[in-house]
Amino acid sequence: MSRTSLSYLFLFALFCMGPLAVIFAVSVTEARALTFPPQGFSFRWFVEIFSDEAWFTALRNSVLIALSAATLATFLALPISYYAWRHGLRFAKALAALGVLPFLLPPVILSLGLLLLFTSLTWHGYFINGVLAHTIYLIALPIVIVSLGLESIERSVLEAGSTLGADDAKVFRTIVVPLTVPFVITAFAFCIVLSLNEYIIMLMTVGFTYETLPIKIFNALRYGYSPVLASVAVMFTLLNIAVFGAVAVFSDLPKLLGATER
Amino acid sequence: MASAIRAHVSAVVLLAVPTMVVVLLSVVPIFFVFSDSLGGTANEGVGLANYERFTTSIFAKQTWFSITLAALVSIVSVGLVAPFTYLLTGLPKTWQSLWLIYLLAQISLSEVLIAFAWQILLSNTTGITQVFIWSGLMTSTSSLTPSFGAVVVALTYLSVPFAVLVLYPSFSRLDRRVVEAARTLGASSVRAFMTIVLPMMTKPIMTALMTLFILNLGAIIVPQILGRPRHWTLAVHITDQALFQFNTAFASALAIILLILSAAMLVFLRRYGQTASR
Repeated sequence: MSRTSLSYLFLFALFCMGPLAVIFAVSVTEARALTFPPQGFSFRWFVEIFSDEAWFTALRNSVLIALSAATLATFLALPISYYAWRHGLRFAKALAALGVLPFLLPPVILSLGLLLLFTSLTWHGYFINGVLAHTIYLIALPIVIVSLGLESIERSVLEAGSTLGADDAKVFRTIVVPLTVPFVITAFAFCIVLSLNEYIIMLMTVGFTYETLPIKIFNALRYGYSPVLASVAVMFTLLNIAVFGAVAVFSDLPKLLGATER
Repeated sequence: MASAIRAHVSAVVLLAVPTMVVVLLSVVPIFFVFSDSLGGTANEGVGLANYERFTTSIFAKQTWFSITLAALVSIVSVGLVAPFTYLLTGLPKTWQSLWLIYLLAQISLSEVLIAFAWQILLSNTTGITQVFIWSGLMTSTSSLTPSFGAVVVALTYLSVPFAVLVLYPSFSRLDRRVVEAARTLGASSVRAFMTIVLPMMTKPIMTALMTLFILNLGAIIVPQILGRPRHWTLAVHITDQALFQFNTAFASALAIILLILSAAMLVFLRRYGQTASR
């Protein structure tokens, strides 16, 4: 690799990781005020996420919404992807296209619609609002990722199974399920991570009554700097890296993201 | 025959719930937005009053601002990312995986946290300003936020990993022997990239530009935290009108305009962009 190429890679890495490195440095500062270079070393701001009642409640709320929405989105997407692939149902394909749309459009549009829908039902600031809103926003991920997994199954394998006497249910159980499970888990992981980090949909559909972590962070930002913010940012970055690292270990990440074998 | 009927029945049963959920949570809400946009705050009845208000107020100007901002950020991001993706797809597979893990982690990181990171970086006590003073580029400490530049930089930061993911499949299929040939014939790496790689990758690059345009059209948090009110995008005004001005009818009209803009881009993307690369 030429020197130009190496320096370009280095500068690009600096642009991407530099800001996060500064946050890392700030998060382990001892002082409450923002100082740079950081003074002292302490993990107290990480402890505060769990010991401070308000921060911990926000964290718990975020986790509950993420788990519920990711589960719902994944289970609702499975039949859509399966019927679109196995039987080529036009209806299932149309449903898949409709399900992907909320993810492609600016989220503020659908959030406003959901807010109007929930208001007309007099559901104000409920937990369920957040779960349903994230479910419809995230359902695109399992639809796309599980479909990818299904398409990677060779049709000839299915035919061989049928020829050898397996009925549809048995083919499904012994061939389709084992080959798609890694993709289902990957999709679930993507949903969890995106839900935990999502702000605007939560703000629009739940508001401040059921405060999730990103909403709490935004509110904290308005009142000025707090080192807890930096420690939350670090925690999220590490969590995201851990989840996608696990995905990379259990599946072929370059292939999942569209690279071809060479 | 019996099994075909059974398969049919189970398809209907298993697809019923997802259909209900998807329609109820995507089609119905958009219908609500549309019908609300035609209503008024008072007893004005059904009409286009909200849209008239749009054309005669600062909101039309802010919409134009959103469009130019989205276009600018998309161009800057794709410009930065295209050479990177080319280099990335030439790396050994382990390095590619590591980069992809990192980029997925960055893509998922809350927009709120990224805005916070840049706020710290551009503030007067830390980060870049200190470096500028130390190197003599600036003489006194002053905060670089809120400003238009801060909004552009942070949005670029948010867009960069998306652009990589859009360009990655096509670049990984690129036949590198063509580039090798040009290099052997004496072209520099920059020249080979500009005259060989870029022309071959026009379509994916256009796809990336359009995808990022839609993404940035919906930008909300960064303009609010790192910009001044005149840097507020259409999306910021939608939340502001709905949640803080209690004017959901006008917010709905603005949302319909944003919907038309992004849907037009999506149609354009399906037409001229790269269809699913697999």
